[in-house]
Amino acid sequence: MKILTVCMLLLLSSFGHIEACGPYYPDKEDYRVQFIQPPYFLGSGYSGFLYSSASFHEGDATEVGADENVALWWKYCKSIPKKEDIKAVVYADYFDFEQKPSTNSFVQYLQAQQDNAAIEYLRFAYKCSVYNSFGDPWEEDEAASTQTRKKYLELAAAQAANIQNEALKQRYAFLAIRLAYYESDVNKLQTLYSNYFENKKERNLIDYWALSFMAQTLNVRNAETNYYAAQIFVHAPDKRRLAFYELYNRKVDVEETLALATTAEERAAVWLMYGLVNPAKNLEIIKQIYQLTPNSELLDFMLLREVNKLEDWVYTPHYKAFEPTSSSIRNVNMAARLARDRAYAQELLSFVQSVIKKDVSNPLIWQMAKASLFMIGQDYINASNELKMAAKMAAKNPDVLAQIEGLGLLCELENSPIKGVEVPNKMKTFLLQADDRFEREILFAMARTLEYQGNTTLAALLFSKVNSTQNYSDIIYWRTTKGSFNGLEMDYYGHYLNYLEMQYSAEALQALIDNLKETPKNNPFSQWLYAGKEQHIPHLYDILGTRYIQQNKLEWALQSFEQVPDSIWNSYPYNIYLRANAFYTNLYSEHQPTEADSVVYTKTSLTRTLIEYLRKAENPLEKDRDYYYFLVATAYFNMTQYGNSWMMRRSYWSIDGVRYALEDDDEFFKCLLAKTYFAKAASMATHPKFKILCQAMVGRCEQYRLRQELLKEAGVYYWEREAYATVLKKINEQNVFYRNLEVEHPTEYEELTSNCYTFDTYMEARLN
Amino acid sequence: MCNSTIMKPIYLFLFLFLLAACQKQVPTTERALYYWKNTTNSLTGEEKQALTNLGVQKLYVKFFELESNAEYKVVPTAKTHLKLDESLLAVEIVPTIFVRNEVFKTIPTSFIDSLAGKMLQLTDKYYKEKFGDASAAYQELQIDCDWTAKTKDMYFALLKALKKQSKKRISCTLRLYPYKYPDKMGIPPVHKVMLMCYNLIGPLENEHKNSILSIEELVPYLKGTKDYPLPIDIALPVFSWMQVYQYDRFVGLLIPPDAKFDTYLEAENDLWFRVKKDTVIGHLYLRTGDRIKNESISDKILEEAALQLKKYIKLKKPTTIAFFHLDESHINKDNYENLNRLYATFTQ
Repeated sequence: MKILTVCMLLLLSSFGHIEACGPYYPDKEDYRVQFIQPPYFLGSGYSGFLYSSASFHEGDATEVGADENVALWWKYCKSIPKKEDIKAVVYADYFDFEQKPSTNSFVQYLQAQQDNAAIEYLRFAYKCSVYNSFGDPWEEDEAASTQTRKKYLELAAAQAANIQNEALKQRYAFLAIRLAYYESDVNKLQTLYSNYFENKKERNLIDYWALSFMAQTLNVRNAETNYYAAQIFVHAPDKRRLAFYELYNRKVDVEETLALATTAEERAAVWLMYGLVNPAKNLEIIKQIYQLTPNSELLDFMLLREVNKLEDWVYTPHYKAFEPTSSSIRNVNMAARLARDRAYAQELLSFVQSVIKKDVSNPLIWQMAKASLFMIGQDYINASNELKMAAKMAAKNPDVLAQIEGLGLLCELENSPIKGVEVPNKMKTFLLQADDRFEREILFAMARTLEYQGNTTLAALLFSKVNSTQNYSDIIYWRTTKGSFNGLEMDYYGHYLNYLEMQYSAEALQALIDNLKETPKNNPFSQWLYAGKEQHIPHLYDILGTRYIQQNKLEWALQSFEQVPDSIWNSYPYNIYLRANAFYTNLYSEHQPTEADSVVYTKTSLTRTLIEYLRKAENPLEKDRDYYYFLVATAYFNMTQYGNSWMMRRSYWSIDGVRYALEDDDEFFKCLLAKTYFAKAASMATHPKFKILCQAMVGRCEQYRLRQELLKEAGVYYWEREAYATVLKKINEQNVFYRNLEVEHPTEYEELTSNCYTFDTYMEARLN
Repeated sequence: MCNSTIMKPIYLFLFLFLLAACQKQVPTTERALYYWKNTTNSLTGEEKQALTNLGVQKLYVKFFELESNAEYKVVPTAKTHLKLDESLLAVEIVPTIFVRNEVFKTIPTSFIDSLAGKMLQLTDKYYKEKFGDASAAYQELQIDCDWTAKTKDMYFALLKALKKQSKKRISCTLRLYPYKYPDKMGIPPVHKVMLMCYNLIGPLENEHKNSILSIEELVPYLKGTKDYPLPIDIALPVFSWMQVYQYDRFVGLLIPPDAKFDTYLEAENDLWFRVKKDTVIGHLYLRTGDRIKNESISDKILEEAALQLKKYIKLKKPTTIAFFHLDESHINKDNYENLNRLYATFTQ
């Protein structure tokens, strides 16, 4: 029997879905629950700042910034050229303006207007763009690039001073500022900013770009830079990252920053930044922004963030049984926290209900938020009604309608629990085409809801579909509600069989098997729901039989194991990890192979033999009752953490032991049944040496029980040598079975507990 | 009497044999530290003292990190600003480059030679500017990368290219997983490896274990593992943290804002604290009931780790023993004695 020390054993790997081995753990973003999808409501300019568990937000608003810059050029050209043509020129590395006639409407316009100044500006901007960085990051040719950058800086500054065209003057001044920044010429930069950008009343994107460079040169990050950061964040989407990560200082008092803001819009921007860096509740900040700028997209953005935050706080533990991703560690009092967070959802809902729809920028967002907050508060009837209203408002948006449909079905399930496996038609249609992440999350939530409602059979059938067609990168993971580990600190599940093994009761497993054995209806939904069931049934019988072993219901276990074909017992993992003689132990080998392993057992044959030996042991007419009790006890011992047939009770084994949260955890780690039967064998044994052997085995089982309890109680580990030795000493002292043996049979005690060759001689004494 | 005379040469032979055998098992060690900070331009007084008091011969200085970049494919970031004054030039500086594994997922094979050239060029430049005179040259270059089975080929190609182009001694860091499973993870084409004996488990993996270093986690990686085919150096941790993390990936430290923060916590045991009141620290929202793991490494654990490493790994001389990392808050006069003893453990 091989010892598993590091790698997790993979049960059921034949299903093609393999749990990762080793230190892998799903990323928080992989299991966070988010039903309301902001990208369907907001422009991509916010993508980097939507609610997320990640400390650094992914997402890029460069394109949004580019679009706004293009819009400025478009306005410059009196809205005549195509915007895509403007973008093709402005965001190219080079453009051949000599080619005539040009096919580009922007160039055509400039040529027609004989706007050579604009063309010259664009040519110049191309040349400068190479120097928009602090030199070569590899530092290979710094001197040359510095010289050229300086030259272009002077040229840009001169053009800004001389050119009459105000739009081009502003752009040249910005180019000069940017070059000065990368040249680290702070004085020049600040002078340019002061000359061309400071104290302007009308500002456009270029002004905020210039501000972003100027603000970076300020030595401290204080209320002033926070104020700039807030304005840049709002007005220059492609500089949001910079504003957030480089300029904003979360330690500055918001009141100080607010004092610098002169308009309602500026104050709203300050509140927005303050809210963005605040991972806690933001209702008061949202209220402030609403008071200042009720119809701004920023308010919608903050509301969606708050709804997503609450979804994480409530749904991630509710559906996935993971902690909210904003939480730092497990083992919190989740029920109490959920109650508080649902109460907060109610507060937010009250505010959303108080908002006048016509005042806000996108009423659909507020409608969706309302529905979502009702759901979070578990008021599914009101949620359902609000979703219906949202559907009317979103009539032209198929993505939003798909979200509404999924959420509506979830509400319907909450309102009208399903009995049996017959599913309403609308739900069937949805499930049959559930494919993208959102749809599969809803599918999973339905499965979990059914499980909570007690419909474990339909729940299991849906769990089996959650990841059935997905690859590694998009697996939905969840935990058991009792926090079971399936080996090596792995407490997450992505395959339904692994999950059922740890979570489902024997009754629920039997009901599922019974359902699977029925002939499914001949319709697409049933075919989908029951696809592959023939493969799954034997594994379910294995899980069920194991559950009965855990409950020590041997006859029932045998009946289940008999439904499992030998091909499963003869394949991985059983062909490696359940290949030993469970009726043999010699006190020392435990997991090591022994000569006795010439006889090996499957789960079926072991259970059958155990029943047979138990029957003999308990038969008053049997003359070798002590011997059979000994064999029974040995088998029970081998079915524990320390024996050669631990797979009878567990699919995973670790040298450290695992918190399985299964009903026989005590038995698995404390050898209680083995101890009982070794004691019975001892009480019936007549041969003195064999009697002593039985008593020694009782002592060994007791030793494991005491180790489990006292080491856990003391919380010490074996590398803490002194403390560990102290507990071991205590264990030895408290093991009354060993102590009695030591007093009554000191020589035999010494032999049996210190000499690994003595076991067989004591056993042989009985057999002869 | 006669027998005694005959036996003498045999005793002498046995004595010499045993002496030789003993000497073979006692490796010569080089004392080293890692310097991982990139925002400081000089060592503090305490850090200089540490180099002297610990008799440090080698300082592994992170010169820069490599990360993917759309424009340049790969760019050096987190560049060192450290410059050593002349009094410390006797310490051998080992330029160390941290390469993010993601880099190998984005670059073409054809870029490897060029990347190696750029890395060496920048390393040479920094070494000459900051750690020696114009003609100075380093002896060893170390690459730190948590490669995976998928990126193994590209990473190893880079190591080969560095070896070929630099003609210097190339070493690389080795986590315990690739140490235990060389068949799966490959053996890097370097002159020697630095076995990193810390951060063996994710911070959340086991709440009872110290994720920086747990003997319970360390030993299974060492026990029963075949001899590694390359000379092994050893790196051990000397740091502590209050951790904020996302499972297998450490994302940041919780820096207590002030002493008042303690009033928000109640201790459960040596490792764990419970938050008593909702509060925001930096970007982290700590909720009532949250638990914080405050991890540090005791001298006792380090000693036990050293004993286990000696027990299971055949160290070839000269072996470098390095502590991560040189920072006055972790290495200072309070632990010179213990660290000196630990260095010595490997030669006893």
